[in-house]
This record gives sequence, structure tokens and C-alpha cells, in this order.
Amino acid sequence: MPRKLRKLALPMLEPRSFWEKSMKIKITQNQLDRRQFLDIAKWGMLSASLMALGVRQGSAGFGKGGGGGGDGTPAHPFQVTLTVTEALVEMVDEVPIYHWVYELSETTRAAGPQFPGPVLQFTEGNVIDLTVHNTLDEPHSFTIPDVVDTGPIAPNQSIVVSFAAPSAGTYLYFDSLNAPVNRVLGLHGAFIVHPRTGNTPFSRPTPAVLRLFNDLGGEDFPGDPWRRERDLIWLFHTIDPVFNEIAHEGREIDADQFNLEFLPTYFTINGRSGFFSAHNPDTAPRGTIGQPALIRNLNAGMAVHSPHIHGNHVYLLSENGRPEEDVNLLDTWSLDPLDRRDLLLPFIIPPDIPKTAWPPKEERFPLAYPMHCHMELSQTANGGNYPQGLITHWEISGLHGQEEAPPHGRDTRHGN
Amino acid sequence: MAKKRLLRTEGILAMATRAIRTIRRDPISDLAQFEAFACNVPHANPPTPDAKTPDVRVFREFRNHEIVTPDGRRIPMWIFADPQKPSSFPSEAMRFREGQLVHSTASLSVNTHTIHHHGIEPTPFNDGVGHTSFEPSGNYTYQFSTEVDGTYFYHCHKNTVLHFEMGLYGMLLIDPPEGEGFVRRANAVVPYDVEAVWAVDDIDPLWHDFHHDAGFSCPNGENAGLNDFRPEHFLISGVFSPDTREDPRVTVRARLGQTILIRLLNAGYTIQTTTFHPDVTPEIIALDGRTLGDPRHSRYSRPRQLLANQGIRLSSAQRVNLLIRPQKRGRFPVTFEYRQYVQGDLLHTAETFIEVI
Ligand SMILES: [Cu+2]
Ligand SMILES: [Cu+2]
Ligand SMILES: [Cu+2]
Repeated sequence: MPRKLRKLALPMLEPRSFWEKSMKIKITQNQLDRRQFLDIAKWGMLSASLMALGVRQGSAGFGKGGGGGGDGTPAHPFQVTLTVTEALVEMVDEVPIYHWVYELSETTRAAGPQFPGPVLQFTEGNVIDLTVHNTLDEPHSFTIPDVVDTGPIAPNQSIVVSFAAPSAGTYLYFDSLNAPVNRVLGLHGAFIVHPRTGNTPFSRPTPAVLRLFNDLGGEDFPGDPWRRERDLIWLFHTIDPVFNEIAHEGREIDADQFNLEFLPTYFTINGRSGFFSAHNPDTAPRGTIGQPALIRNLNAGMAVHSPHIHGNHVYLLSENGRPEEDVNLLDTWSLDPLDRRDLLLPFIIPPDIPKTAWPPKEERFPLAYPMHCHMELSQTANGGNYPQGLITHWEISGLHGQEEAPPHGRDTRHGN
Repeated sequence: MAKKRLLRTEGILAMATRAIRTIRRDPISDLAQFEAFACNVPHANPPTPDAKTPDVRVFREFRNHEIVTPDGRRIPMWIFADPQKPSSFPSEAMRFREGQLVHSTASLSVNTHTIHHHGIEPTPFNDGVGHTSFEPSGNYTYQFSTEVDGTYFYHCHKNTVLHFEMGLYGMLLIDPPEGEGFVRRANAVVPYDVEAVWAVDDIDPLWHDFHHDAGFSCPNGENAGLNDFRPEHFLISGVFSPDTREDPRVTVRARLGQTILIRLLNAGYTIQTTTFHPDVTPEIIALDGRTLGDPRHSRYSRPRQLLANQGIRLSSAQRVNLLIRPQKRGRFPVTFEYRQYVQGDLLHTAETFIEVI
């Protein structure tokens, strides 16, 4: 007898259009065969202990007049306003799943909720005045470990923190309360810091990293050196809609239960899955031979991933902000929850194409290859639908000099 | 259920005042392209593009197979077999020498499958990924050269979550030009005396009764539970634990003074940590088919001696080459921990031995 499958909680909206017609997704009753949910009292007892509206300083070397560097950064602090709000995020099968998300407020208008949150980018030493509004019914926070932590922000309260952008690298910001629940329900995003100088993405590259970047564009890597505008982000995430639905109903989620029973059901990269991440220009690297791209990997979810790339091995440059003493060349790398790993996709001629068959004549450019997580469970959506999970494509569009290197964007999904 | 409805009503009322916004999925810009990605991957058996005369040919056909657990349970498997040889799990290994032009022909008489030579980097037609090329239903010849020596493997890349679990994988080893018995270490080629290949796998028997398209995209995309993997059997190179303690397909026997090469692959869906007895602490000399410190591509890295009792943690598809030069005689245990990939629960610990005589 097959074991009973756990079905999704009934979402607020039904799937629409194409999938409704042709995919016949069956969303039935909330059949929780593996789990017993505790009867959790509605949130309500935390508020007394919350911080009131206040101003705190970030922990990273805040100083007056930060910025004002030779690269045109202003001497004034950067003003950033984020709102903690809610949104229904449509999965790859168009099932809308309730999420908590950050929304960037621009000077004139709100940008709309984003999943994952907006990419925040600064130069090392920039001073940031960050305002975080919490419009939800329970406390939330904004945290970058070892850099800044707002602490709990009560419902309908705001907190302003000032902090300096730390040394260059890839950071994950997230709501650290009721960990890992608030982060995994959608409150996370990438925080990128660029160095003031140098030809690497790091403030203090190791000798090995420096040698690799000095070699780009040279004899062994004919083509271009590293160009920042080709950088990409791959933010990996896992979703178990059962818990999102509990949040939707306004019930509190017990973190221990969440840890114990989380069953990844949707897998996203930069908020998209499958076909949609494979064809998204901000996720799918593209360029000619000799146009290397830096790819910043982050894992906001609950699973250990094993991303694997076809076509080229990649150089693993840094692990959790620390440039590597030894830069290994890999086709598969591990990514634990909260991990950040920067890697370089060299865009060399795929080495195992016979020399006598290059450039290909009968096969045409662009040459497309997948990058996907090899813990293949992550290639599913709602228990099937391979490969509508954690995957993207990358493309070699031609020989070097045939085409300008397209800049890769840093879009995330906006709602409205 | 009534209580549940009540909660939901409250939720709707709350939402009415808050108007939750929706972050839409992207529209399907091109339906044909969308379907070709998953449910209607083109089936084809084209001639190999830009085909050249090969130095070596290898053939694999799809076969049904069966393995028997130590307690007598029969588990259906799918394998790639050498047409000249009996069936085996893992699928029959491929072995080449650096610098060869290879034609690897798949004969797929039962449904469609592909062969992806993992870590080998050819053109998309020869890469075995349906959604960046096609799925063969008969014969297709994959063309690639063996540019870089090292430890690779091959597997089916169709509904991979299921087909890889079913056993459609085997090792792919590329020796340096000197041939078998030699391995690259940094910028040199060194001899070894004893070789062990450990493909560490885990089996959820429930999955082995599934249809080959279980959970596949359109037309129905049903929830087949392919995100819910609960292994009950733990194997190394096809040998069930605890038989791994004695089976010569896994155990290693060497004389004092000999050099042992171990090729380790995570061929499962668990996170695996392999730990050696301190008297056989290995040196890592290659990762994923790339020799550390090889001046051709890896002069930014070096071979690395592990510390005593330091485990090697691999996630799915990662490979590592290890050199061991035992300094004393004895029977030294090696343990393999299998952990669940979300909760990290320790599911099983397998064991084998390196015997130095
Ligand atoms: Cu793959
Ligand atoms: Cu297959
Ligand atoms: Cu693979």
C-alpha cells in the first residue's frame, strides 16, 4: 500500500487558467497524514514585551559621514524604508500561497511586495538609515547577522536603525524572530556589498581569489575580465504551504513544530521555479565564451541543496562571506540553510566538446545548459511536475566578440 | 472541520479590510516552449550533430532489474546495462582514458530516457537533458571527449527525481593518459595499488513501484509524493548495509606500503558524511573530476590532508578522490552517516573496513 500523500491545505484562491484546464491539480482537503498540529493559541501575549518605536544603532562601525568615497557615494546616509506586509505569491502551478514579505518604499510610492525581498546593494562603508514598518499582527524584525538587528518591531510600529555596510560580499537579510519561521514564510532577501576598489568582488581577496581574477581575460581565460554588471543572484528557497496557511489564518506557528514537520513542497530560485526561472533573464546567465559571471548563492529555506551546473565547472570563491584560501573547481556544491556562497561561472568553451567539433556547425548557438539542485526532490512542485522546481538555464550565445555582454538584472517578483 | 471553517471566515473578514495583494506568476509567453520544458519534451533519435570518428565506443541499454534486500525483500530497479554483460546495480561503469573521443550509445526500447554524463561538458545535444535538447526513444549516440581525468558518473536525466533513484546510474571514470593504476595528484601523475569506488545510495522502496512518468508534468501533474523521500535501505556500490562490512565490492584490502585510491560519490538523496579511522586518514586530491592544484585548470587550489576523524560531507552528486598511504597494519573502520536533507535526522550509519596486512 502506498503511504498516504499529504495534500495541500486549501488555498484561498483556486488555480487559474492554463494549469486549471490542463494540469488538473487536485487540491483536496487538508489531509495531514504525517503531522498533528498542535492547537496553538492565537498570538496575543508577546506585545507587552516588545520594544516600542525606537532608534538603535547597527553593530557594524557606524560613523558620521560614512560614505563620500571616490566612487561617488554620497556623504549622507542612504535612506531605505522597508515595510513588513503580506502577499499571496503564486507558485509555478499558479496556486497562490500566503506569505509575509518585505516591500521597499520608494520616495514617491511603494514598489509593491516582493518575493524574495528587494535586493539591497551598497558599497563597503556606506551608511544606511533603515526604517522598517511592521504592518502585520505579530512582531517582526530585520536582521543581518553580525551586521544589524532591529530587534522585534511591534505591530503597527516602526524602527529606524543606522549601520554601515560591512566588508564586501553577499549577505542574507531576514526576520530572525521565531526562527526559522518568519524567515521561511517569506521575510528575506539579498544584501550585497561591493568593495571600494579592486578587480574582485571582495574587500580582502585571498591570494588564490586574486590570482584567478587577475587571470580572467588573459591567456587561460581569453575574453573579458570580471564585470560587475554581469553579477547574478541565485537565492534558493523552500515552501511548505501548510505552514503558510496557518499564518494566513492568523494562528501562531510553533518553531519547534515547524522545524520538525517542514516538508518542502515548492522550491524557488529568486522566487521562481522551473520553466519560469529557466527563462528569467535575471536568473539565467547568458553571454558569449569569455564573459565570466559572478553568481551569488544564498539559501533562505529549510533544505540542504546541492546545486549542480552543466556545461562548465564553477570556481567556488567564498563561503559565508569569507573568501576561500583554496578556490576549488566544482560541478556540484552544497548550500545549507542560511549559507551564502559566491562562485564564478567562467563561460569557457565546454571542455569536453571535441576540439575538432568546435565551433559546432550542425548544432546551433545559443548552447543552453541547466543548473539545478541535485537533491532531486527539489525538482518537483507539489509532489510531481518535474522539473518545475529549483532549476535555471544558462546560455552560451556565441563566440567571444560576437555580442555585447548583456547586463544581468536584479529583479525580484513584485506584486500589486 | 467546523472549527476550521470558522477560522477561515475570520481570515477572510480580516483580509477584506487589508486587501492582500498578489504576486503573480509570470505568464506563459510561449505555450509550446513551456510544454517542451516538461510534459512534452520532444522525442527524437537524431544523428549526432558534428559527429567525428570516435576513439572508443560504449553501449548502454535500458533494462528492468531487481535487487534483494538482506531480509529478502525484492526491489524493482531500472538500470543501464552493457548489452554484452549481465545486469548489475549500480549500472555498469564506463571507463575511459584522458584525451579520447567517445561515442556513448543509448538504446532505449522501454519508454524514453536519456544519458547525462555527469561532470562531462559537451554540447547540449550530447548532454542528455530533455528540456535543453530532446529525449531519445530509440538509439542516440552521445559524443564527447574525455578532456579531464577524474571521477564522474552517468545517469538518466528524465524525471530524474525518480529515474536516478530507480538505479539508472553508473560510474564514469577517466584515467590519466598513463591508464588504470595511475591518478593525477596536483601537477604529477602518481601510481596507486588498490582502488575502491564507493557510490553511496539510499532507497525508498515505495518509490520503486511508481510508473516511470509518476508525478510528471502535464497532462495531470498529480502529487506523487516525489518531494517525500523516506529511505529504508542504505547501500554502498549496490551492497546493502550491513553487508558492506564484509562484501569485497566495498571492503578494501591492501598491504602495508601500498597506496589506496578511493573514489567516493553521493548517489542518493541524503546528506552523507564519511569518516575514516585516524590510521587511514586520507588526503583529498580531487573534487568533481577536477584534480586540486592541476595547473591546467585548478592552480588556485591544492591537495588537502584531512585531520584525524574529520568527516567528508557530500550532498547529492558530489565526488571526491582520496589517497591513503597507511602507516600501520590493522582493520580500520570507515563509517558512512546518512542524514535527512531538511531535518538532518541521522537515518543510518553504514560501515566498511580498510584492512592493511
Ligand atoms: Cu542535471
Ligand atoms: Cu530514465
Ligand atoms: Cu547528475
